[in-house]
Amino acid sequence: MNTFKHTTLMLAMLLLVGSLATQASAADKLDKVKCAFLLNFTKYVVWPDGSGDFVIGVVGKDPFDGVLDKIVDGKSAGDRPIKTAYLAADASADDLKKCSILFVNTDIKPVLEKIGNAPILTVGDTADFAKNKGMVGLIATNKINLEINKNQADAAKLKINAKLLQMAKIVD
Amino acid sequence: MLTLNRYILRRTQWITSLFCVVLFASTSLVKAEEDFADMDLDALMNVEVSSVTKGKGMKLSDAPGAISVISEEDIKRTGHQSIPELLRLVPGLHVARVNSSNWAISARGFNGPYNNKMLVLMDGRSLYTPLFAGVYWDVQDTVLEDLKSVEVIRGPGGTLWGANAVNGVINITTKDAKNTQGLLFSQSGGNEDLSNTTVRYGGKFNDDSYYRVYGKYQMFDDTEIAGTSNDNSDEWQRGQFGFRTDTYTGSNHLTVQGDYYTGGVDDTTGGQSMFDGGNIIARLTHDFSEDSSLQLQFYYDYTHRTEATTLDQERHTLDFDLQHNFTLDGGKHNVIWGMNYHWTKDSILPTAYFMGTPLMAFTANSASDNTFSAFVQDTMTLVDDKLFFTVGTKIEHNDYTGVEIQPSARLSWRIKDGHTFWAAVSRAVRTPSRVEEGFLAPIFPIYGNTGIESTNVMAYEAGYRISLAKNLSVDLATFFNKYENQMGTLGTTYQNDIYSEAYGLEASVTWQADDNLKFIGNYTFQDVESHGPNSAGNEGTSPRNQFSVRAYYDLSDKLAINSALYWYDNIPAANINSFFRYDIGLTWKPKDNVEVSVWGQNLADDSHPEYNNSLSLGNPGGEIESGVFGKVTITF
Repeated sequence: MNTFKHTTLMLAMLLLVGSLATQASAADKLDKVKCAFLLNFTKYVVWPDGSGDFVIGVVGKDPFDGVLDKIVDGKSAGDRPIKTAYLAADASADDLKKCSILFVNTDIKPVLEKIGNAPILTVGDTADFAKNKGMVGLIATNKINLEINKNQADAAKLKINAKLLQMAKIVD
Repeated sequence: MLTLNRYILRRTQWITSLFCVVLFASTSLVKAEEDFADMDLDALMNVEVSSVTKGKGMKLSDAPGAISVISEEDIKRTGHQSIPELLRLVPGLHVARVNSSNWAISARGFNGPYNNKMLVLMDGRSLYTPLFAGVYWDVQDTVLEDLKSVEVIRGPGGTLWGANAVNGVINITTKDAKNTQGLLFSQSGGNEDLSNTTVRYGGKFNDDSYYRVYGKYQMFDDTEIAGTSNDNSDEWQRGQFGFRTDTYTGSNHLTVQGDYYTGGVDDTTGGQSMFDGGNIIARLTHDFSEDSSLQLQFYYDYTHRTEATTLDQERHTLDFDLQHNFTLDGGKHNVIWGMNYHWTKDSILPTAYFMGTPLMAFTANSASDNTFSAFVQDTMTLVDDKLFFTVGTKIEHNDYTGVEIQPSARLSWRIKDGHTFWAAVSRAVRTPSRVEEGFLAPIFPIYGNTGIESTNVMAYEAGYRISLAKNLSVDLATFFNKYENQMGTLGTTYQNDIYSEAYGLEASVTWQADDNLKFIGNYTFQDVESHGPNSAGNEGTSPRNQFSVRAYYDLSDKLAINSALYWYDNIPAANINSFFRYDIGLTWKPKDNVEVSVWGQNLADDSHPEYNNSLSLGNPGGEIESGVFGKVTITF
């Protein structure tokens, strides 16, 4: 009976919503979300006492194209202002150890050899990151899934909040 | 005149609802763009990033439509102890407990103890009975802690899922054995949910191969006879055990799983209905590349059910399924196609007689039915990250009505981050079941009709999803369904002589008010108008309005209080008044691996009926009583 009318209504609705829509930003959403995760980890992980700037470092090629700087701009971890650092894949142990969070966008093995059990939260987005002794893997499917290697975090004396652990898949 | 007024009134309401959707959508659009930096962990975990990972196929279930998922958190925080009760959490679904062991569950109208328009699957295994195309919910169970998710799609899913997915699909999946390692023991005890004992152990054969085994035993108390405080004599119990193994080798993932269950339900005649059954599933997924995978699945299912006042039925089912997805044109096209062969054979005998005549029987005591089907669907990216168009069809051949075609077209438009609009047009069919074709119940009287045809529906849907910063998300869906050739029984023989229109609105709001406080609100409106000689009793079978509000509140790391309020409108066709349901529970975690909880359920009244069942002599509808239970869960 009224199929035509209803279809027309649906179309009208579609058009109305459409006309109100604004241009979406072209920036890569996945990068934004990953950076927001890095920022969030500062709230869910407890580091042994530190002072001065809280440095989130990216080692290897910067995959975020400036997005990380924007996300952490003006933010702080506790009372420590958050700063970013971009390090080459062959950065020295001393430079790496200035970071509290390290996004590893290169082969993780040499990085781990350099930092040992220093209290640095290592984060990556490769498939087997946590299995390869990284601490937190950000695995993108249709949403971001977390994989946490708790043994590695324990060894570095980092305390990961129970809520974060609950949401993650624990890998060892 | 009166009819006309009512008609206009209903139309007006529907148009008003639509208007509200548009208004809501447009006001929210004006607000600031989603700011990921302000999002907390829960919100981030829920941000969809799929469209960005180009070429990664939209999952079978990711099609634009009215989809809700019951998560692990919901299962933990609502105290429901069975799968049908859990479904109360889903917007747009009407869940009514008819009596202690019988549930009526449907989306978008047409509910009842013998409702027949929902497709229900667990780990790829079809759960609805070809006897009457409804679900015996009392035998559908698993360890609730091992559920990965319960995904509910309202509206037709015929293109991907096949016949019977007319008003919705309920897709229950359990976790990989890899994710259920270790020992879990839980015990509950109460005055309505009498007891629930669960033991599960998960281990590994080697680094690539995991298993779990479980056993479960559950007892449920009677309901009350409507209008009295007398027992309805429908207490029941069930036991179940099962296993699952998951093996990963290179790009292959092999799952083998199985269950066996048995149980019994008392009835008012002093007899008992007994059931038992089992199944085994083998599923192999092979990834050719990141963008292409193949899934092969086989299952065998056996069910046996003897009801003292109806039938003794035994059924064997075999099912072979193939699905393949791949991308074309650099990820612009995501194609999924598949084939299925389904075979089922039953043996049905009467168990109750009146003066020598069976109360219920079938023209043929045994029948075997074959269904072949194939489907293909393409999701096209019209504008990168913004506009997607999905088109596909299923073609199926069944022994009752021959070839059935179920196409659909869906449009999904990511207006901007956090704002998605979708619209869909689809056709689905409900093929005749054994009852409509061969029922023989001269006492009622109801007769099957060998010339019965399928019911078909044309469904027009649209929806809007918003996820705003600060942890607020809103999901709206609206539909108009037009049914033709519905099967009616009010004459003595089944006929395709009912025509209906159904329309409605479903809304869900999730608000993470604070780190430790979350609210979820659902509202559903639906209405059905039917025409034709047998159409009486087809309208007003589901509540026109229902709503629920849940609050999840963490008092500390160790203590949480969770509560839920539900309201259901009256159901004219079943003579049910509107009622509230209120549940509240306190959960205490003294140690990481120990959880103790106390729950009060149905606290809004002493008892209330939720549906009736006039066709069942042994297990008519009963009143659901308020109850209390305690539960301890220990994991190692």
